[in-house]
Amino acid sequence: MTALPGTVEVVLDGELDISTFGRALRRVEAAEDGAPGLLVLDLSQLEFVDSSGVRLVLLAEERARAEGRRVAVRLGSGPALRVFQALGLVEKLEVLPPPPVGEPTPRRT
Amino acid sequence: MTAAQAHGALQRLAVALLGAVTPEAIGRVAVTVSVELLDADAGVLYERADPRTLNSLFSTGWPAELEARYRRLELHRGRPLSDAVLGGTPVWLEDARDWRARYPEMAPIGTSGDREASACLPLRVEDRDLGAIVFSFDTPHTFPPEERAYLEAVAALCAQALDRARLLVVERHARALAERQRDRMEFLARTARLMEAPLSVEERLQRLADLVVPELADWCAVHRVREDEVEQVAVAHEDPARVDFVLRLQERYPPDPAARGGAVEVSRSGTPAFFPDIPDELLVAGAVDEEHLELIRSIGMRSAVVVPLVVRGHSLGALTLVHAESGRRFDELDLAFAQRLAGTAAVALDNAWLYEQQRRIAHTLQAALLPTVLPCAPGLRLAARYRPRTDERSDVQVGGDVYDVVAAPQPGRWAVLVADVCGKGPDAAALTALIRHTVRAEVAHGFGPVEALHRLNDAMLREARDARFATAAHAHLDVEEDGGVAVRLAGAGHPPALVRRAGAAGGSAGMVEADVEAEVEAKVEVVPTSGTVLGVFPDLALRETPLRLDPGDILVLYTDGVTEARGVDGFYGVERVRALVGAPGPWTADSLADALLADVVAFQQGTLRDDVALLVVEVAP
Repeated sequence: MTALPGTVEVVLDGELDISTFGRALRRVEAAEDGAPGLLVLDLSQLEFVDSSGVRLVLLAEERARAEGRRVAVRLGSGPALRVFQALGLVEKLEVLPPPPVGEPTPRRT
Repeated sequence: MTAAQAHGALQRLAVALLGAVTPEAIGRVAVTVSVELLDADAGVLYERADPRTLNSLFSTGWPAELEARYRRLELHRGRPLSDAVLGGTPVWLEDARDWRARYPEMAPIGTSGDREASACLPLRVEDRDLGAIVFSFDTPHTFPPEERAYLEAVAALCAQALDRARLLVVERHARALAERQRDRMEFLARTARLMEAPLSVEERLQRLADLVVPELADWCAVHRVREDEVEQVAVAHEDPARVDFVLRLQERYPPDPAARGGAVEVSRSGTPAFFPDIPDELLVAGAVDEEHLELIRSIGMRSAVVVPLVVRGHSLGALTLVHAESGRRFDELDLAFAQRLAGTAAVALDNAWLYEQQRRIAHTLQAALLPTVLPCAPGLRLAARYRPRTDERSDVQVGGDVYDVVAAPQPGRWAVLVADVCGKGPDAAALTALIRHTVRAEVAHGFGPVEALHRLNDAMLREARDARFATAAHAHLDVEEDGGVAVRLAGAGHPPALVRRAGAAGGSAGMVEADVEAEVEAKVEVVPTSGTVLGVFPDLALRETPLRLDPGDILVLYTDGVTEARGVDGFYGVERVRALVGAPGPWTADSLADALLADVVAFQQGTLRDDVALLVVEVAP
């Protein structure tokens, strides 16, 4: 996969819940500062994610839509996928596969 | 006296002065040693108390009357001692004739008791005027230059010793002040910590009063303004028996709320009252009768400060400090410190008050979000449970979970709802209220579950901000004539509903005894209520699931605070809910709701990471 121009990827790990939401949101907002054409939020590395993680994605999506940008998510096959599936969101979002190993990837933070 | 003798004498004096630390000791050593060395008949050393006054530090050889009269003297030009001090040069008077010629006015005093010669030497170090030393002789005495030089050397030694002592006093005073300041900063820090303790306001104020005695005051009282009343909330003294005594006294003779400088008046006015000394007249004026006077006298109040607990321009009460049996007196510094202390306490009180307000609002709001009682639905037995997320910082909770049961317009039809708004706080609460009331309205308008959720979604999209979404399970329950219930269940991103079938797994309920049934695991169906979450997308994928419940069947709806609960074994999960719901009965709606809530709470060791809401519907058997 080739890195798209203007693509920024934010990789979140650890736990994403109400107590870590603020920190994660600041990271996403920092990534949005450059108004990337595509913002990829990688939630596949998260050990735990609840509705706070969903809200994080929906907020980014809402802002992107307002500014004519795109947001995509990586959900992997763990907790993030389970939560987004349960909420009926997998069909509603642009979901990307995990980044291929060993190939150049867009700027990941 | 030879030069060698003089030198030796000066050395003796210098050594003697080294041993003297206080100005008084220096005065004594300087006068006694130099009088002896000079063979003088009297001597006195004065310290400059202020620009116009000299105080005697030590004197010897004077008639008692004269000594008493000149223990303290004002400087006046034209008197020998004053001239020496003010002019900075010694005044030598060699005999009575000399006295009369130069100081005719003072001569009768200067020569009383047949005094003849006097030497008045100023004590100076650099430009510092420290006082004077005077020697008198009963015989005429010429002061030859070498003796003058010797006496001036004596004066210089005394002046240096006095200067050293003065500096030492200043330094000690400064150090004492600094130490007091440091102690008090520590005290303030302790007060601040105390006021942050998780105690009630009253307990905190009592602890504050306890902290104050006996270090800062013999007695301490704290008053608090409550609505229109000012009430005493704490009294402290080292001896609890004394506290009892005062409380009994106050019961018998309630303090006059209008008393000037009293805690009530200070609480109301916000102006401190300072009584450095409490004269007996003040007690007399405050006493109701003789017995009262005797009792208040027995407390032995000597000094008091009453400072308001002021924050944001309001007075919340007053802090009263009283010195009694210790005999201590409050000074201006104490007053200033008491005000700081009261300020610290007031800020903490104010925070506590704001917190209590906030908590009250939260509770009120929360109560408005949930039904106070579930309706009585014939043919159904309902139970609901709600437990807010555990917050370590506070128990101020306005939740995002809601449940509701409401009668639909059609007879025998009941609408049930369990919903979960993501996030916490006022925004989440506002959305929770919107959900509850919108669904109620849609039910009243006769809309079915799926349609109601669509309309709720539209309402949320119009109102909601910040990607706040919600999940919901919403059902209509029609109680039919045979006692069974027809269910139409719809969900939006919600954890699945569970149905416990009353009939034993694989068996027929009607064929077995109740006590046998009790030991058998029941069959539990998992009914998905997935679908798209509410409040984000205009188009939703929702569907309705029809169910048939027989008498004794139990429908369990809950929020993800149950399934997403995390314990040491991982997630609680749907499987665990299913196992509990299917556990051998008998169960009622209430006992099952209690058991499930207790299990979820225990699973998380009592700390809930998310709100938990449960709604259990049992079809009357």
